[in-house]
Amino acid sequence: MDPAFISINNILDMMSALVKGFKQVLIHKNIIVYLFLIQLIFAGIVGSVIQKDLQMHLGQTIAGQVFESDFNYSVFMDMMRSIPDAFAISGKVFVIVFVINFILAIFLHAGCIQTLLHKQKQSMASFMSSAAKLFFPFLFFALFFLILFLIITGILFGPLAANSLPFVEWLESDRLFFYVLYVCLFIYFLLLSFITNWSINSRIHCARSQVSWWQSLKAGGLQTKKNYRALTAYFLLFSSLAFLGIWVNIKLDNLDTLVLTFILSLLILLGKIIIRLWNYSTLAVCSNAINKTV
Amino acid sequence: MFAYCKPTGNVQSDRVANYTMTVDLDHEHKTAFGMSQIVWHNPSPNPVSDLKFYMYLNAFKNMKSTWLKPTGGVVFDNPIARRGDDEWGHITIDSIGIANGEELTTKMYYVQDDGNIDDETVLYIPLDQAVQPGDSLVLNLTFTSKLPKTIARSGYGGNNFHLFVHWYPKLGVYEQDLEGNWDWNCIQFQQRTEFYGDFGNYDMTIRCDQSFTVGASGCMIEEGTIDREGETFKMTRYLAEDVIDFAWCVSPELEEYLDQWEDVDIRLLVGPDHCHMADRYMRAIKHSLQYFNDHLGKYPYPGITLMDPPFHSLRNGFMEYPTFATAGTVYRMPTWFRGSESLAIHEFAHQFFMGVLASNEKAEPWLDEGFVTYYEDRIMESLFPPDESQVSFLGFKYGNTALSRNEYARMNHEQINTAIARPGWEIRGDFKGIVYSKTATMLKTMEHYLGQEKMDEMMKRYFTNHKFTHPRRADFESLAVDYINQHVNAPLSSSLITFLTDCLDSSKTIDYQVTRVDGKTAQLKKVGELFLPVDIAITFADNTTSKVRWEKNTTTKELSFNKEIQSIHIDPESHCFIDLNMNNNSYKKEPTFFKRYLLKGISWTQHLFQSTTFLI
Ligand SMILES: [Zn+2]
Repeated sequence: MDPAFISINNILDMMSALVKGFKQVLIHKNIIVYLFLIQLIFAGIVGSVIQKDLQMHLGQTIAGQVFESDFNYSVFMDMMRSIPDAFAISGKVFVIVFVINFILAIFLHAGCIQTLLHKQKQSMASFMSSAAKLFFPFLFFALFFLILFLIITGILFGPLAANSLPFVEWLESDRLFFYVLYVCLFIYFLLLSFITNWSINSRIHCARSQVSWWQSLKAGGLQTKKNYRALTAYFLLFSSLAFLGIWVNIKLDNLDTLVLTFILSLLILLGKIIIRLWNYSTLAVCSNAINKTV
Repeated sequence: MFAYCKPTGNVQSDRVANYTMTVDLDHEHKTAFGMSQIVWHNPSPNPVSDLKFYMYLNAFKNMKSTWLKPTGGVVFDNPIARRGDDEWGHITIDSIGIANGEELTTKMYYVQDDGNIDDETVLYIPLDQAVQPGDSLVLNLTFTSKLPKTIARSGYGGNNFHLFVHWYPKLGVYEQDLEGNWDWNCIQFQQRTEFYGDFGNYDMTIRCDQSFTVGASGCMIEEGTIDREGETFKMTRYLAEDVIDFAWCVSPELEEYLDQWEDVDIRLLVGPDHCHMADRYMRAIKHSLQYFNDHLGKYPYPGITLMDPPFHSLRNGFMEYPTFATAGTVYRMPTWFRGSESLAIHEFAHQFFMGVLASNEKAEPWLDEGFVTYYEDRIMESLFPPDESQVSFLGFKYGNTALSRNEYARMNHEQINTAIARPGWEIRGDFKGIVYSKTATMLKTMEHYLGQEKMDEMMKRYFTNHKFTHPRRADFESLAVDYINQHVNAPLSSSLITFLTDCLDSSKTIDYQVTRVDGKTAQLKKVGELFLPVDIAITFADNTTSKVRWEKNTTTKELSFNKEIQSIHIDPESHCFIDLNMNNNSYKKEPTFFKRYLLKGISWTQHLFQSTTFLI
């Protein structure tokens, strides 16, 4: 695609890549289930530890019953004051599960990307072997992009956060401060779009060509640079869909129907996983990676 | 023709100290040049042969003042010590004399009670001829008030924003002390003290740059221009009747919004960055006027001005002045956070406690800040759903009274003295927790026991009996004791009275607890020396219920029944709202499963995992 502008033909190409990408996800729908179930198990551990902590501290009180019917500030604060480490166990479990999930997610997404490059459905065994083979390169990519992400976030927002009050006073307007923030967010969006697409492209390249990490990183970067307008448009689409999911989930949270809300929330999460995989396969279509893999 | 609100002309106070002032603002130099005529009536049975003036702007003259010294150069997290000479403030009387009489300029000098000779916040002037009881003294003076770059409230901010507070030579209060001796009550400006003044009229003419909007106490009775030395200036004249002080601001940014509640004019001054808040502020003020009208007394002034400073001058916000209150917010304040409304209502409530019931805020801060917080909480919880009147975001929510109670309960009651009824300068530790939150929680607890109707009746009586005076602790306490004795049966009446005194004078606390439930028996405990009687609700295994009263001030209570206890709850209606921990007030045999937090924990953790792995 010509990076200079997006023509009608480009848009049609992008649409067709999206359709092809989605079909590709449907072929490999079993991996959606893997991702979903693994996350559900980990989240289940966290949820049940929180529940156990609450049971331990409030289980046999009427305050606990009140707290269960709806969040109650006084019950919560009385608990936190009288038992400052009320959530010590939950906190520790959360950190451990978070780290394990993070590492496991690298493994699973390695399997996902490799699997999505195939036109035919892949077995569980092949998924696992691909994931194992690509785990270390993908761990490298994850750490590299995580550091890049932290640097970008720090540079863009660090000085702003540290000097917000003097800055507002210098600007003589908090409205202007927000405008500056909006500009930063826009730049942030463009940079995030670049590094996210770069990360996916590098991983696709690595899964497809199995060259060195460094070569894949370079190739992914070039690929992203070459297609940056179209890829930014994809990023906008997929991140908007993901944010829409979060927004709907927040709205659902206000409903009184606990179980229904939970089920709908899980469905939204399923949707977010599909969006992530759809993003991978669409970029794979764009870089002509699919089918070229043996 | 009145530009904004019409003075009533009714004499509502004894009008002891009256000021007619004309000030010219030189905004380039952040300085106001004033001419003042003060008419003071001697309210005492004694001849008065001296005068004392508050010169509080001198607290911001340098780091040596009694107000600034203990701050170590940091005020509200803002380092202020290293600043240019032109960023400090000061006030001087350039000339003063008695009308057609004694010249006083050479006789005046600063006095200090604390031995800090560098503090120039109280000025003393001996008089050759004493002012006889019932006589009036007319003083003519000229003065210069240079504003500091804002340290706390009074000062200038960005873009020519100026707020004049504690800004003019103001007489102290000539009154009887607790022992009955007449003297000037005019203490140096020190931390945790603010206002105390006599009632009177302020006729104030302000001349400033034409581009400025002026906000001030009182009604704007004249508006026009004045030509001087080839330049045209804006001229506004304000009249504030029966008030204890006068404050004003100018800014080129403020926009005006006008509305009315009954015959009270409401004037909002809001910068363009915060214009989205105008409706929210207006709603809060109108609701407060109605609420006070229904539950305490009618707002006795013809107007109220609420000013929200631009964000660059936020340090000038969040304070109360007679018929003029300042708020504060940020651009696009989300509607789920109601802190801006709460603060605006708080500052407005000071019109009643400080403005009309003009207690000495320095010596008895609880009588205004504490009462104000109590009403702020009530008003907010009638304006918004009570359990989310402050915040409601993603299921996390809290209301005002719960917040006040938490601020009270979280203090270290064993380590610090939390007695409420003490002068501001004596209170160490969590000033807000003690003066604001403990008082509000104490009053809320009393309201629970009296019932809101009786509480309102008692407070209405306090308001009616003491409006436009300087009520002290004894005034409120004796009125409350009388009311409780008349309207509450013994022994609750004596428990309530003891509770009130204990809260005012001690750090005593109360925490009811269920310590053990064993089949048909239960052991209960009361930790802390406060006491209020409570009900105990019991549910048995056969689903029948029973109610027992904890009537006497004992530390333990044993209950035994002939049936298996299913649940037991001390104070099920949370009447004893000041209880430090209400979670331990109950026992329930069947444990709660906490399905809500299990399911929410799972779904939100999953979303968090999914979102935080977007790069891998
Ligand atoms: Zn206050």
